[in-house]
Amino acid sequence: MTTLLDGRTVDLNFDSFPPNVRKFQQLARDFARDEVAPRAVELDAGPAEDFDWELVQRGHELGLTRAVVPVEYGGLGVGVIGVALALEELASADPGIALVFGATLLGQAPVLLSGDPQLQARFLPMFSGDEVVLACNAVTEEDAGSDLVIPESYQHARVATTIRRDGDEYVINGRKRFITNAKFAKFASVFAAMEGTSGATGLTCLMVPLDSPGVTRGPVADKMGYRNCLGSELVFENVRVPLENIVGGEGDGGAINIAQGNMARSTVAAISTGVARSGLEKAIAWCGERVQGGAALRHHQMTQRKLAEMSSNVDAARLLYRYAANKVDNELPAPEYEPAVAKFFADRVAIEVANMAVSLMGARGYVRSYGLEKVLRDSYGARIYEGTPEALAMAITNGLYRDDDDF
Amino acid sequence: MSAYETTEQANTVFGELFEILVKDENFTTKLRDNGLTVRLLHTKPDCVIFVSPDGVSVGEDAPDEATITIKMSCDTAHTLWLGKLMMPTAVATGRVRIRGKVAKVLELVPILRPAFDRYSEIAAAHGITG
Amino acid sequence: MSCQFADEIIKLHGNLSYRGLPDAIEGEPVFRFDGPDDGLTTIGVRQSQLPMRYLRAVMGFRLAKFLEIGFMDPELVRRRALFYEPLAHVAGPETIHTVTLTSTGRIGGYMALVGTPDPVPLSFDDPTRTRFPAEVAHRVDLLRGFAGPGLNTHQVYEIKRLVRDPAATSGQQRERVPWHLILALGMAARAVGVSHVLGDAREAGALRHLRAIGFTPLVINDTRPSLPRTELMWPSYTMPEPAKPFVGEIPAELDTSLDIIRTALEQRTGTEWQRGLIRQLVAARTGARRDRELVSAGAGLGAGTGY
Repeated sequence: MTTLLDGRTVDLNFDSFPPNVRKFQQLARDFARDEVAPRAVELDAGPAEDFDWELVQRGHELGLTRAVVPVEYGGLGVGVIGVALALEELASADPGIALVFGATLLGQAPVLLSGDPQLQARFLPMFSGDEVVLACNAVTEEDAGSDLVIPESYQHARVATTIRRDGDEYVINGRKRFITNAKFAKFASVFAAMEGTSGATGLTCLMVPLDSPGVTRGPVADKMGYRNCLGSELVFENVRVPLENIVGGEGDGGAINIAQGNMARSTVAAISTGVARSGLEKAIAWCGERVQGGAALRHHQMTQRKLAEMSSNVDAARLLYRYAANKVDNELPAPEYEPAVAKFFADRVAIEVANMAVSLMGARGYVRSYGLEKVLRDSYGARIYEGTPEALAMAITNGLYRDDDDF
Repeated sequence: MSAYETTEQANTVFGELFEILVKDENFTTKLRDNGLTVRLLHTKPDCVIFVSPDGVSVGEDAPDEATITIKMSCDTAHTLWLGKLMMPTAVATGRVRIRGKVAKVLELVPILRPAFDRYSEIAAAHGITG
Repeated sequence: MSCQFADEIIKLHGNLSYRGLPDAIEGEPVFRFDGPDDGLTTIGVRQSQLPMRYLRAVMGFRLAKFLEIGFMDPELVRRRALFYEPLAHVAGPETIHTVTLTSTGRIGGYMALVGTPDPVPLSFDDPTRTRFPAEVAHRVDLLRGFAGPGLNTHQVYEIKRLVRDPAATSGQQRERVPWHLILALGMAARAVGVSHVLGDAREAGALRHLRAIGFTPLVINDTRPSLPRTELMWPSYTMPEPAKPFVGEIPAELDTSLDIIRTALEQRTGTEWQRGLIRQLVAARTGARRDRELVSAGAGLGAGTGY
């Protein structure tokens, strides 16, 4: 452990990951390199509705859908750090495939946080069979995005999906947009407003099996990047779920959404780091072989400056997400500051490194078959979900001025 | 007005509550198998409880180090144990704060049932109501 | 008794499949049979050979099926938030789990052979031996009458949780699953040196199949079985016509019966398949009985008759 100047102690010994976490990282690395990377560009070029079940099934077999589920429920129990390490590896091959598994984790998160053994017994073991099962997290709506991750905005949020209580059931009506995995997920953690409450002040979290009558899965969005995961609408028309499907209490959804976001942000930072790393690796390879001015590009000073910027930023992003994930695994509630910093930084690094890599590769950076223009398109994705830079800046500033007791 | 007025009151009630848990084999097996000890820091009033598979220590007898440390006010503890405050809400809103292996803590919560069942009776016996 | 939680647990396990199970076990299975024509694979394994994920899978299947047929208390299951039957600690020989899987990995049938709780082998009539679960429920001593030299409690196994899932199989697979399980029972018994099996069953259930392969079980009638309301299976003893406790010695003709079953399972399915199998088993039993009678008669006549 290291003591920082402000008195905090941190564990920066990243070589000391437990063996099961290291093994999981290696499995993800091998899978990404040998199975995802060779197909990523071709799959990306396909229609928006295409989904590679074979790859996703393989990822499931490696444990990617149950990485953070406790061992007792058939999971791997590798913690957020294990998930983050694995997602960096996957994202370096394709961030869409990484997000398929990341979104499943997010769908599971409220159940994990609930501390409710019956809810956990009903929803977590389904990932322990041999056939792939996915989950999703249904928060975003047509008129409500960042408003639902910024508590100060809750009173203004225009949440159209509502919940009312009817006997021993809750009834859900509304529509969610841009939900990753909604097309195929077994269940969704749905955040909606209790009827009679204003804005998102009465936001409530319900676990909703998506084969329930009244659920419709909408068309898939044709996205700029992250094309190997599918985002679509979820429509709820008088969908009924038992009262037991609530996480926490009525009106607790806002706090739970923030808590799970804090839990997940370091893994999204890991995805951005993977995207950046992909761009960096292509640039390094190119600059080592391309000769101009009588020498390989890597010998030219301006190129060296660019490679140095890219490389040091990728390393810094990696350290930040690992630090944040480690903290999340050792603190409840999950910290707000460190995961927000990690994602804020990594999302920007992904775009900057991808930009620089394209500029270094010239025409080849612009042509689809070389795979780098895909990295540039993908790099913009993470700044949209789990907190935009603006929302993250608010979370970071909150953290700077938070007046917590000494623990 | 706080539910608990004195440290002695809090020590007695919460100490007795965890004595029930360390008699539950389910609970002690979980602690032992995972190498867990728990230090509960209550505030307003201050009250420290240390729980291991071998027993409960209270106040000055409680060791300073534990694998999991949980901090909350006595009022938060009171509403939690009464079942009026849900654990995910308490944690998400920061009213309960935990340091240590989070995954192991989440596994502990469901097996606290024997204590939940007895709390109101123990508290009432020591003049804590509501 | 109905309970939403229990219904969801039943549905959960109905949706799970385990194609990877046969290849995931550690070491060689006690028994494995791949039906060439019926798409079924049956394996018998010691409990320690099953990775925990798959052990929970079979224990979950057990829980779901017995909830579905009303033999387990759904309210107890809900209160304890169970999604698999809790693993009992067995100090004696390891439990042998037998699972029949379809080609899609659904569990079509299951059976357990459970050894004595005693860590040390004891004679059948040792007053300190721990009773098997069926003996406890029916308050009988099934082994005392079979005590003999060379026999000890580590050679005795209780047949438990014999159950099928008709929804997991189709067509003639359904009638073949029990025969897969019976074959597995016999092969496992041979592999681990079983001398006697016991348990409790209904006449139309396991007892019928045991008799088909040559067992002549001693069945105790008119017991009044019960379990405390803290035990998951207490409702099973409130059914009309509850199960009867039985014990049977491994028959001498077991190998013959197993060969007949295996050969039949290796053949093509057909409308007369099961009838043909039963005819052969009956013939084998009848032939064996006749041989024994002849031997006994011959022994009585033998001396001085000039045969």
